[in-house]
Amino acid sequence: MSAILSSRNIVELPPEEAADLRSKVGERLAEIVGQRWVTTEPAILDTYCWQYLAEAAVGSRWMFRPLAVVLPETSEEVAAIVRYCNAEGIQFKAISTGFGAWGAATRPDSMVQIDLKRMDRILEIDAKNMYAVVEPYVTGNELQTEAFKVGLNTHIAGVGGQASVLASATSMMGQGLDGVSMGFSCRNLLGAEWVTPEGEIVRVGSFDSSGRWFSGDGPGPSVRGIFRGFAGALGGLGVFTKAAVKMYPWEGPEKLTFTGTSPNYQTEIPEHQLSALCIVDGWDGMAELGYRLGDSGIATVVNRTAPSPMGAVFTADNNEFVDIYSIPFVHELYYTLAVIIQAHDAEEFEYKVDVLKSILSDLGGGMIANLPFRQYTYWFARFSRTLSRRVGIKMILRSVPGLLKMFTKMGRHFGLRRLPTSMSSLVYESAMRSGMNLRGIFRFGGTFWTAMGSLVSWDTAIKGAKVGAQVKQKYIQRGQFFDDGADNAWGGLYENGAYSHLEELACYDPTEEKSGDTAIGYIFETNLASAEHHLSLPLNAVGPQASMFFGPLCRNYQAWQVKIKQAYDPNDASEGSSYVMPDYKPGGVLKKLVMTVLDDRAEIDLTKDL
Amino acid sequence: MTTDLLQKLPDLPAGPTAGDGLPSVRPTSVEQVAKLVGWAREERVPLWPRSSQAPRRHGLAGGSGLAVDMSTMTAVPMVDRRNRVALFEAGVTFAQLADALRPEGLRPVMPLCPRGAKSVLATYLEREATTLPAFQWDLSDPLLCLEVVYGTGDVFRTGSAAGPGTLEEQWSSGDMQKGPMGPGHADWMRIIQGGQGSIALATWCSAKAEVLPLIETVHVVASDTLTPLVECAYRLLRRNAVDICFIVDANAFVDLTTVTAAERAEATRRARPWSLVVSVSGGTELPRRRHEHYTAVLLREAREAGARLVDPPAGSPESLLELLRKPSAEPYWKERRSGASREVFFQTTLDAVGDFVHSFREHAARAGIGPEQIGAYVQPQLGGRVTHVELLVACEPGGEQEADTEAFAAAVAAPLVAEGAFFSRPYGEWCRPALASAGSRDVLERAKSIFDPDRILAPGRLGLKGNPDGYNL
Repeated sequence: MSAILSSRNIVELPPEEAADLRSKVGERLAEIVGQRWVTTEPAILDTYCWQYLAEAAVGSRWMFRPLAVVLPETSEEVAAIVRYCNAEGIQFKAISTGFGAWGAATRPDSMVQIDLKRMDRILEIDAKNMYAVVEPYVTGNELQTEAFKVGLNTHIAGVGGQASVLASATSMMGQGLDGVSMGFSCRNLLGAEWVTPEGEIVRVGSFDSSGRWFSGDGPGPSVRGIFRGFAGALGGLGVFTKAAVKMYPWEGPEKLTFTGTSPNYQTEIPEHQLSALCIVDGWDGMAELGYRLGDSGIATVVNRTAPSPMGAVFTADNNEFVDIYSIPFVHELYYTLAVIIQAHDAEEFEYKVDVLKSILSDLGGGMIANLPFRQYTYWFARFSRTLSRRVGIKMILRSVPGLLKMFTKMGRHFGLRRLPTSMSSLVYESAMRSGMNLRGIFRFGGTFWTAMGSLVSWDTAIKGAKVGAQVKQKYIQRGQFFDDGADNAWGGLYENGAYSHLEELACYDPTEEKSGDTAIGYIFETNLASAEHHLSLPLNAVGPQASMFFGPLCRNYQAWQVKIKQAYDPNDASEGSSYVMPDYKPGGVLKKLVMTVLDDRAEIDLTKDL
Repeated sequence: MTTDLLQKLPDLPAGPTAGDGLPSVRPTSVEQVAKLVGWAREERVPLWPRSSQAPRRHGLAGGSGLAVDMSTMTAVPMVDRRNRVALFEAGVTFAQLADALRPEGLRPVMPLCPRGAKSVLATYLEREATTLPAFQWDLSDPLLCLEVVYGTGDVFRTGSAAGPGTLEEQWSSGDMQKGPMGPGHADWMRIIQGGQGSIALATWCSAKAEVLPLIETVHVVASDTLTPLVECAYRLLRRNAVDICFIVDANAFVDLTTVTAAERAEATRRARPWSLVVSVSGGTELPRRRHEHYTAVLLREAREAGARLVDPPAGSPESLLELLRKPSAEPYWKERRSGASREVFFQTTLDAVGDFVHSFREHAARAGIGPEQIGAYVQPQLGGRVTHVELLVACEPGGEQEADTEAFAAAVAAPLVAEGAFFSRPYGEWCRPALASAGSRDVLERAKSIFDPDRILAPGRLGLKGNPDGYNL
């Protein structure tokens, strides 16, 4: 049993009792949604147990089997299910596209899994007023595809274009590559339909009284604040059945054009759009580049991806990755930002690109971008010069054979004509559709976890990246994490640089014994480092365990969270093991793990870069 | 307030008696506020927070009790150009904040010419509409973090200001209280904001500030009808071409830009029925080019929308820009027409504004209010996705007309809500139609019970229940 759940009193029902309960629950749920949309079949239930990070949550690749899975079609059906669970003292948890252990059962035979995949409609796209209303199972790419047709775009969280827009906006995080121009998921929420933990349907924002979804706050205090803070309630405070989200201008075509075949395909970069990989000298240069890009307001995407996942994103398998990552200078591409610019017309495009050039010139940087050939060559040369200043010309020269091999391969995939812009095209595809991140990050070890990642100033985010890498180095040196160069900080700017985030990704093999405990040790140690260096609350400040640690450091917010949970979910029906458990007490395994970490801390020296 | 109660009152400086006749105290620190709330809880005394100096248009007490006057808390401990943020106390006015920001090359995000005595923090807490929609990413903007005292007496900090570490320790790490969400799973700032003081008393906040552009020009696009200006505003906001952006009718524009009778007469003659007021700035990079480009965009969009650029009805474009960067001169612009006014405001979308203005005028006509008394101010928010509509009804102060206007402004909310207006900031009588849904009301009642269990903070505001045992007043 791993650290998290060892604190719970897990009581398994005798098999016959569990079967009876399952049967009874299944029958009643069938009365609500129809027999076809309920299952208690173990083989089907188990498909809901295979979840990302299960090894860290429960010490196994599998979460626990729910009592039943039910697939409602309407908000009223969801509300009826929730009311039934309250009446019977059964917990429930909703899942839409799902991504992680927090969506699944954390005790055996204890909860009803509400699968929202039948609620998959885009209810409205208001092109003029730039908002959309979606049901839970609408993905980022689905909404984006429809939005492009009317000149709009949507923020897609870093989890990828396959994930639910609603889940990200109402319930779970929301960092993304496009944050500089399209914000953070919860800040895009313009209203929601909320089935409360007791089964009331509450419409939050303007829809309640006006029948339209343009505004999410009020009347009076914003109900958004109750169910959605930095992290969201991760399913621990009811179910969201509709969400209105802000949309953003899209200046590209109604449909993007692709060439090649999966997985080696490329996206045509539309007219008046630039996709650039910009390089500067060191973290100080990165800081200046970020601040100036934020102030200027020219960018649609500003993203930092470290060399190892960048290599993984741009390649189709680990063999290709090794080829690229073996090129000496590739794993030195630390101080880069992917920047995408879109413009309404040629004149605006020229202005924005000139701003980027001006900033890079001031900072002694360069870029690889889809520019006209002469400009491309000039900025590529500057890119090489910037890199060689740090790594030396000899390393650049040593990289030539590997580069030639890579170009040959890319030429075969994409055609020689496309070679100069193939890198830009891959950056573009990865950033605009958010479709390639996961293929990179899961490939190294089978899974990953992530740490640090506070929403803070860009300077503080960079400081957090340095701290995170130095903590992680220890785990790499011990062979517990994949050697990704330690600095695998991913993130960027939000709201034109109003705030930022860089999270420290860590890749590992989940089939390794105790890998879950190792991951939790890493999370605890990075959380500790975040607190010690005053880096604000990291993205793992989630759930009862983290709240217990951070709460006393942050005005005892955990006590107020418990009050919210108790006020809105008096029967504790909405399964809250990743949110709030009023009776939570840390178990012995967790305490032991904490002591182990405390006895063996990584040394942090902020004066050095790895 | 009885003598017994006063004797137990924590030792705090007394403030002036407010317009609603309440005695007031002037705490100068969060510790004093917490002590005061603890006393009020024990004695069941209602507290009515106020951080703006008198006079006030909203926020007068709905009953008896004690006013908590924080207007003398005027420190600005942090201004940071790099992160475009400031941290300041509850009593800081826009003029004071602008003075603190200017040397750093920043400007405050402001409503349209607020009253000079208006607290910035109170303005932001009330989600008042501001004139820079392109810089607003969330309706909670520009408010970021808060220090508050809940109705329980607990001191709390929201967002990244909560910790870990003191403010100074966070500053030394480069973190300038820019994260508005959390800490944790709730957005405490958002629960407090819009609460009209009924959830917590705020002592300071951090807020976004914007770069003071080196080049900025203001332009007036005029039309005889609203529709072309709405279309033009949509296009400009979508392009992020303009900083300041709002629409006013002739009456509101004249009220905004003139003070003397002679000025008013001339401006009334010159003002077109509707005006879209925008500014084009050079931003931070290649400012001349940016300014030239977006000025050309403005001209093109105005032409294509069938509107044309004109001079302001009074003064020059330069003086108008200067005026829009400052609080209102006295008398307050909303009271210049007849000496007093009542405002009715709500949210909708830009394309629906025309219908609401038409409807409002009809309701007003039925109440005997003529078009010469009504001014319209239309403020796009959130990059043009939401629009604040503010309809001003001028009246003579202190007489029957003011009472009738007051009654009309209270009563007109119900039909407007029925027509789809969203009263996101309901005051007084507006609460009944705005918060008609039982589900929403129940959610707010539960929140009130969490943060103010004895219901001593601004009891009755938003139509929320008071203390069932009553108050010792």
